[in-house]
Amino acid sequence: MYLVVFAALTILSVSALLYPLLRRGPSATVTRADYDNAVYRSQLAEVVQEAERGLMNQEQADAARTEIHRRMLSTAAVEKKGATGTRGSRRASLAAAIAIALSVPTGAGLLYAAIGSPGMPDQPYAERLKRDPNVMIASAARKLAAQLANKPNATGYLRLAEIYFYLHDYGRSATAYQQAIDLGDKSAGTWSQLGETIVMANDGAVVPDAINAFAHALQVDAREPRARYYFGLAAAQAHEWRRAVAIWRDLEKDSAANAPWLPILRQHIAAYAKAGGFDPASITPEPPLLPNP
Amino acid sequence: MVVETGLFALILALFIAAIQAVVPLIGASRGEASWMNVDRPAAAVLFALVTLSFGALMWAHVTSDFSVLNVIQNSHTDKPLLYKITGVWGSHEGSMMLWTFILTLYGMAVAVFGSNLPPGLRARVLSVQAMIAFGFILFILLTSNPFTRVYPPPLNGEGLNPLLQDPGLAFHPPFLYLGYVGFSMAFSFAIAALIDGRVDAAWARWVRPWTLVAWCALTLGVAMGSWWSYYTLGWGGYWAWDPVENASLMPWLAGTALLHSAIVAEKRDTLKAWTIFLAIITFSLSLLGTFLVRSGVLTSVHSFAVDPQRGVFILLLLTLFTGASLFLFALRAPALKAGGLFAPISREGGLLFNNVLLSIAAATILLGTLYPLFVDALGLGKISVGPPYFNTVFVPLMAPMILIMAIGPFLSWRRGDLEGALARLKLTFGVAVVTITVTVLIAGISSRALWASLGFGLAAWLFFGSLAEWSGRVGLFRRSFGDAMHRARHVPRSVYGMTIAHMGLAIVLAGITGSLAWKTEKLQVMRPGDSIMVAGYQIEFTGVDNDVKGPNYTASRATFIARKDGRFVAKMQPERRVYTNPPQDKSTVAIHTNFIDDLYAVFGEPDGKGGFVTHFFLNPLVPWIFFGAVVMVFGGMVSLSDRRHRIGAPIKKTRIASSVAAATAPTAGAAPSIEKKALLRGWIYLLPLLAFIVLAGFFIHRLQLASEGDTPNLIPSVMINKPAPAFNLPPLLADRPGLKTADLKGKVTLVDFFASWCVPCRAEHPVLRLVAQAGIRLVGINYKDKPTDAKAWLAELGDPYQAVASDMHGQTGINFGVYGVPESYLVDKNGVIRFKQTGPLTPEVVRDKLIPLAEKLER
Repeated sequence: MYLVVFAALTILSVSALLYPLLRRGPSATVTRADYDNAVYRSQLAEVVQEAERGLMNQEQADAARTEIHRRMLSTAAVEKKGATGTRGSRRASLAAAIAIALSVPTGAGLLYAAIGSPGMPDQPYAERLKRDPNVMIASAARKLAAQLANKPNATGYLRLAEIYFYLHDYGRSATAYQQAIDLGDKSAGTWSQLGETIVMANDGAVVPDAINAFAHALQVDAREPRARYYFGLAAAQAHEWRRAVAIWRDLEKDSAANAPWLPILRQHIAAYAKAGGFDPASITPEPPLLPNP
Repeated sequence: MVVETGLFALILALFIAAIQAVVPLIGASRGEASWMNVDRPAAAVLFALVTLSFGALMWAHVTSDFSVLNVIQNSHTDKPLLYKITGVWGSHEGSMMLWTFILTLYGMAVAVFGSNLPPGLRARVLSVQAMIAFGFILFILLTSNPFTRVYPPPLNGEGLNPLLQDPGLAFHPPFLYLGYVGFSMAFSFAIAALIDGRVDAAWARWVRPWTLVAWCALTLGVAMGSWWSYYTLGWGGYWAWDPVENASLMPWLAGTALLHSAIVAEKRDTLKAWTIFLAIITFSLSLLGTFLVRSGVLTSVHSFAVDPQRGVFILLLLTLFTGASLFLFALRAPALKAGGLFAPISREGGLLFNNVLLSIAAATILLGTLYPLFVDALGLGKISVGPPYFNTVFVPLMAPMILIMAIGPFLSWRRGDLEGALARLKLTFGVAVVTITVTVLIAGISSRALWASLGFGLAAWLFFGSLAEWSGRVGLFRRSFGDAMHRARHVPRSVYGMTIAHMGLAIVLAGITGSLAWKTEKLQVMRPGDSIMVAGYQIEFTGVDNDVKGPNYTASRATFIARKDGRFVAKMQPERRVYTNPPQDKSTVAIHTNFIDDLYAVFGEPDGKGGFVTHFFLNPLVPWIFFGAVVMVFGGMVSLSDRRHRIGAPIKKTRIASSVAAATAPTAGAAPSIEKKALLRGWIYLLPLLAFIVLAGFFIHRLQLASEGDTPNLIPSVMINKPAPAFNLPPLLADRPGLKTADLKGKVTLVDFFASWCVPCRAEHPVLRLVAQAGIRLVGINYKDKPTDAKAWLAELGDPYQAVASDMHGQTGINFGVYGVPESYLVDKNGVIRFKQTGPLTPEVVRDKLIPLAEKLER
């Protein structure tokens, strides 16, 4: 399909250029002097008109007329002097035609191959809205955000934050969590989700803003697992591996046997203990130390 | 499919342009009729392909196709449809597409309307046009491809700069480009004539309509740009002598000179080399403007797409076109025989005088625009040329020109009668004197009133002088009324065009004078319910609606009721908007006009204590400036409709195709002897080329410097990786701390130099918020500014700084190596400068350079 359209465009364009080259028979032509004189005749007519209306006195009109006549003569002189050989050879026309017919399609094809994206379909937004679930969700999120701007409520913002999180739009997600909190949802879960979103927004670094959010979560519920996990991670990122393992072991101790985070938690404990060169079992479990509020 | 077809069509257009540039040109010089005749179909195909390509790009924008990088960077699904369409040329890539589209449109117009042109000339004109098109399409494809694809497409786009989300974007760039690019027609005619070796009165007549079209479009484009910045930037002015504004004014001045010298060339077959030279210069100045604005060599409040790499390419195009054409000019111009002679006092003399003044004016502006670069290159320090320079040099040049403008049309060709002309201007002189006297009587004796009265006097002189010339021409007071009206009907339209355009300029002049002399400005904090008086208007602040919702922004809208002598005049509602994509602020002003003066209201930031900063202007006669410009354009259009510009083609005689060569062959034989003579006695014609070579060399040097820094730096900062210079500055605001070197340590800090008199700082201001939001410590140094002005400025726009210090004498700025404001330095935790931004910060620089670098340094 692409090739058909491109070929059609090329053929149409090239044939329009070839038309004057391949056309046979006599063509209607005039010399440069004819064109020049057309202008000078009209200038003469203007002089006559202006003189008739008295916009120019007779002396001026005569001088102008003489000048224009002189121009006509010099045009004729140039024409005569330069009346050299004339050409319109069939061979030259054919040569040009062949050169155009070969060079334009080749050049265009090669350059397109170098910088084009052959076969890449259009992606109009309306189409993607029908096909791509992420686009649908993003569009729904925008609508929800507009609704919430008019009628703010904590549950709505919580949902919005989760949608943004799903779409990896962590900046907006964090803002929405913060709004849910500002509107009264000060639960430990929401605080710790805000913290996690901030961590994600910072490519996994547990930055001070995130620690602040996790601390809020633990103030509400000192057993909140997500916040405890991230406090451990914060310690690990500060190279305090023993502290990290202590916090995680504390979390491990409190977790139900089927808690979904247990496998990854154990992996972490093993990996960091190995990095620090100590036996994890030797570390006493400790709850995280909350920063001073 | 559509997008890829758009790219392919553009690539095909490149090769068609190459054919159109080469085949007709060779055909014309060798007399191959069939080769010459390729010109018209090629121009038509070129136009069709570029239109298709431009249409495809527009389609991608309208359908929000985020697989196209250009759409991602400049669009968003929430953007209103109008701005999805106009946003196509809101970016660099898209605007170059518009440029090329208009270029090929002109080529098409020559193909369609050019049947009165000799085939040889037409073939060469279209060939030169195609060379320009080839250069620009290649530029687009290699450095600014708008069809670059992205996979997978992001969920949404980044949106368009709010300043560009304005109806002005729909009109201003297209007209400006119609003007800039229109002068490429005059350029192509000039080059074609130089190659041809024949410049005669007929040539001048053929080139005139194209020059007129370009002039009308450029006049409108410049006026619209000025109007747009007047109502969006919120500083109450309409012209700031900013580089971008100068870039549009220079070709306008040169183009106006060209328009007038072409009249002399047509009527008297003289001033031909000069006309050719102006045609080359006008288009070169258009290209130069594009180069200066887009390369980042100069920074401006109006430039939205800056890239030094592209600058190299534009400079290459400029060098090629201007250098080659000036070379050709040096070669051929000496052989152009002067036609009719004329006395100094004559119509020709007047037109020549105006030409000289216009050219000097254009040169002065060029000098002023480039001066800071020259001075810096010579190591004489860093200076900035502002409005004072331009006002002091521009006014003395324009005043005598306007004096002569009223007299010139009274002088006859060849030898004029100055006494007679002045005698017929007696009444006009009287009116001007009365105007001056009345102005002084009303305004009192002060230097301001004196200047104002002179300005109005000149405006009256030109306005009534033009009217007097018309009434004298038709004999309004000498003949019966009916007879005069009969004669009036037969005055050529081009003469009416002149009269109207000159009167339009008089109106513009009056507008500028009035606005300069009597502008009133009031800045204060107001609470809802407060009232103040501004130049006779009582303005009541009735309240603020904080909950205004636009399609892609939310706004606070203030309502002011303006009354005069207790009577209701207007309700004014300026807004402060916060856009969502990209997150930026923009304030919209409210203007109430009664066509004599504008009441102009700006709504500023809250002061945190229930009040808001408000800024009012009374701009007298500003509407006249824009009205006058429209009158000038109307005059140009009336002149364009003159049937002289539409002389039909000579009657065609059917001959054998080959005989057409006779029309073009002569030059081939005549050329060598011309060149020989030219080189011997034409050294003066070489001067422009030499001057240009020096300038181009200088630009290359400049660009090299610009690309060495990681930003489009004007000056490679020697301060990078050195400790910040020692300073200890007092605070700007009494209740806040000052700033000293030690304060910079401990945290990554952006030191921003700003001033209230700096227009680009206003554009930078909303971007500073992004810096603060990113957690970078932001401190401001107020550079060479009056503390009261700076305080008002911060109160109006908001204060994003954690500390603001006052560097009243600019010593700290000099130590930092500040070239001009705004300029900002990123200082790391140890107080070492790591990054420098010359000119305003943009959201891109903050996002792509500043924030990542700051994060790295913070670790």
